[in-house]
Amino acid sequence: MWVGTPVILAGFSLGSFYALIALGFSLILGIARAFNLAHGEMILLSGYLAFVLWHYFQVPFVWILLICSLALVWVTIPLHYLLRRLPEPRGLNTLIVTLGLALLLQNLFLAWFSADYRLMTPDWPILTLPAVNFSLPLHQGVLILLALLATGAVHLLLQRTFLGKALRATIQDRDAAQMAGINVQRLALVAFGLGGLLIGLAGPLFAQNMYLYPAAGAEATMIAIVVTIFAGLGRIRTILLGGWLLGLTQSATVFALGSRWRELVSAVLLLLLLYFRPHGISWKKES
Amino acid sequence: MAAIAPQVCLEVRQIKKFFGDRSVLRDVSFSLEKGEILGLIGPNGAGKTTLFNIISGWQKPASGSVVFCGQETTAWPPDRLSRAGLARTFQSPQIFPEMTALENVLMGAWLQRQRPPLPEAQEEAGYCLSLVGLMDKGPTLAGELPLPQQRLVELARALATRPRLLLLDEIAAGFSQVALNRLAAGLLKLRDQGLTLLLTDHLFTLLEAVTDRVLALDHGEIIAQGPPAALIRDPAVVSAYLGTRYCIINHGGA
Amino acid sequence: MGKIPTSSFAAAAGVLVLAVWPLIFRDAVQFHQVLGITCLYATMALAWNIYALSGAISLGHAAFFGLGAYASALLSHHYHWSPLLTMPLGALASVVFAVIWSLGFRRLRGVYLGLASLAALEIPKTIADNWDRLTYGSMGIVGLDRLPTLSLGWLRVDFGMDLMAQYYLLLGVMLLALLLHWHCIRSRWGWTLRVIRENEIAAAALGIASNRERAKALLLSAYLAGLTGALYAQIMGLVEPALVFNLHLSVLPLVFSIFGGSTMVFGPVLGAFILYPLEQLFLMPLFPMGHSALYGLVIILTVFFFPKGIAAWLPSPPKSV
Ligand SMILES: Nc1ncnc2c1ncn2[C@@H]1O[C@H](COP(=O)(O)OP(=O)(O)OP(=O)(O)O)[C@@H](O)[C@H]1O
Ligand SMILES: [Mg+2]
Repeated sequence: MWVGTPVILAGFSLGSFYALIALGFSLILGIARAFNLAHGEMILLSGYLAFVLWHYFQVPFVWILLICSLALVWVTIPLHYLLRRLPEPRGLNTLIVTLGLALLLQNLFLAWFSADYRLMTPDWPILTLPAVNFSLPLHQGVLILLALLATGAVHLLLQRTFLGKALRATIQDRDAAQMAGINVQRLALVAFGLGGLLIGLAGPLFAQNMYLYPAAGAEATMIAIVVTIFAGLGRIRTILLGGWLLGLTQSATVFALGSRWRELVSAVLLLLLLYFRPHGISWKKES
Repeated sequence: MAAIAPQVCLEVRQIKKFFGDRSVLRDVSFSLEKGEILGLIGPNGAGKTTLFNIISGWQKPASGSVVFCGQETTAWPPDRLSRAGLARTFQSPQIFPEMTALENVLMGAWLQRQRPPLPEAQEEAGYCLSLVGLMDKGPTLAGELPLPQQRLVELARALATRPRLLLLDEIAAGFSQVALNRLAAGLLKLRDQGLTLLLTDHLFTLLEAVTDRVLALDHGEIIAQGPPAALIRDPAVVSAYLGTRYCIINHGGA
Repeated sequence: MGKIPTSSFAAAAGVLVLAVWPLIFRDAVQFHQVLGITCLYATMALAWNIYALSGAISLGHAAFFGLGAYASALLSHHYHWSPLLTMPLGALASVVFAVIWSLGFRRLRGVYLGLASLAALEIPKTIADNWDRLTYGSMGIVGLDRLPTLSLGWLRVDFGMDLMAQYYLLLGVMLLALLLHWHCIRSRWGWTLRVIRENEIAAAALGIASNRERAKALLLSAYLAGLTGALYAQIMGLVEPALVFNLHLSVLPLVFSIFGGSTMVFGPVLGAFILYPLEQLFLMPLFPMGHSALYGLVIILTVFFFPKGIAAWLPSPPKSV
């Protein structure tokens, strides 16, 4: 195999996962206008749940996916009702409250699971295609497949359904959507619900491919923010592109400089994005 | 320098402004003499606020220039223009919502370029607030006042900075007749003290009462100018306004 | 003259208690230590709040703390200068970062400024983590020179080892910071900051150059935060990237300030003195892991139920203007 192949492969699979991470964040931001700084911690919550189901109860993977997805909906929907009641300024207060939530969750993880690193390692085979000298661990294949499936599903939902049309209208212009008779609050609930499903789905994949530890959420949140601001709202294909670009940049950086520089990549990209686009995501009318 | 145009306070030269490829101001030019009260009328979307924003530094024109007190100020940021003596109010009032009405005005008097000592500023703030007739609202939180009164607070705050030129953007929107008369009397008094004023309005009543001269703006062009009484009869103005009730009613009443 | 207001009495009484109790409880060493660190974090909260007074919520103040700590530690380690010199000099590193911050973030407001500041922390952290030749990477620098011992006649005060002396040092620094903070609220410049915080458009209409004034506030805030970091490094005798560039150091001052009341002179100090000892002395023994959950919970409740902080419940001081 060419030396670059594993780098590109890792970047591609990471990137697909990043797109999945950003998807839920982007939906919630687009429709409810809420920057959820506890996004990464919620993925960890789902990841720890998956770990417990796998380690203590030997639940099959498919069931783990299902249970985690549904479970997280029960976290995000109360969050929706909580954030709705925030006093002005809503944007900043959302940031502060979700930061507090992140801190709370982090410490709960610490109390329940200690600071140890954990990984869900089902004894899955490694896929090999000897003809082209290609091999891929199955869990990585599952990661890519599920991430792409979820992204595709959200894309179809937004583009092809009536609900999707209303969601897109709300993402583009909240006030106009409201005036056109769309129940924006109800849609925000839908967005948090969908976001919960996606976050819940990301958890088990996280637990399989990256180490779970209480402070791991911050990086995931940062990734969601970078990809979302890069892509703009409601543009699912660009989110996928952004995820891949970030994944490839990261794996190239790690390859060239070493793994300690990885976390800097998303931070620097965010700073660059904000430098050139100080209004971040420009929604019409607001700001 | 001063000998060339001692009396000109503001000069606007051939301002062009586009939003995207939409032309909002097309070659607008006029000048304003010291101590003059100039009115600006025009239907919705005529470009009045945009012109104000360009004069006060909030927006930059595509071409053309603004000269304030003999200095080319087109590229200046708004805070610098304010320090040079240009004050303005906004169509949607910009107040400090968590401060009382009096504190709002005090901020104008105390933080202005001359940095007066606090007692002097307090006195000035009280005076300016009484000038707009809001003395009894002094201790009320500005954010809790109705919009027309917020506009007055903003006006008092602008006055407290002791400006040379004051721009008022639809200051009288939502005013009662009584309030309007009081405002008109106040503005005339200020003019007598040497203030130069540029104000827009939809309603002709205020402009008729206070202005010496009115410019009519439509689709970004000055279509007529002259004393208010004459302007109402100007066919160009009437046709620009035709179908909008303000001018008709006023015309009938005049 | 008029009556001396209750709030001044309360403040004077508070300072008196803080100054006197260690003399009475000479053996309560743990308390000396915890309350000393409380003063340190209160100073950090005051520093954070000076920037917040201009309307900016920063999630990156750990960067200033860490830079001050590292710069002081490096000067002390490589040149063996006295901590009395390395601390005020080291804090200048934070000011340099603040200048870059002010230029780079000048167009950012609100949420986006918060996000950018969150990301900004990664830069000095990663550098400290990877520049092995200078900073010894993630190992950090240990065995820094202790703070000196002061002799005044019969009185010998060992700031290096004596926890009570350190408490008094940190209390003194905090009181100075409090004085500065008081100035940042009550002076004409303080009202300028408030005007910017409440409405930047109206501020500009009054002739205030918001970006410049906010940058001034940030430089001041950064210097104080850097000084706090430097003090921490010299008292602990070590720096480590994960220790001094910790997100916790951005979050704690935010929680203390907002919980205490970020528009009040005493707010940040009040927040620190209620929450930090509660966590360290009470919750830590109960929950050895996860006791910091307190801060998360407190900030959520604060934003919902008393967004102006608890200082808003105290007898309000007379209007200075
Ligand atoms: N930021 C902007 N972007 C795009 N178009 C704008 C912007 N600001 C104003 N416009 C357009 O420019 C035109 C002139 O607007 P302006 O606000 O100057 O009008 P106006 O005379 O003040 O109207 P009104 O009486 O309603 O206040 C309007 O058609 C408006 O839609
Ligand atoms: Mg207008």
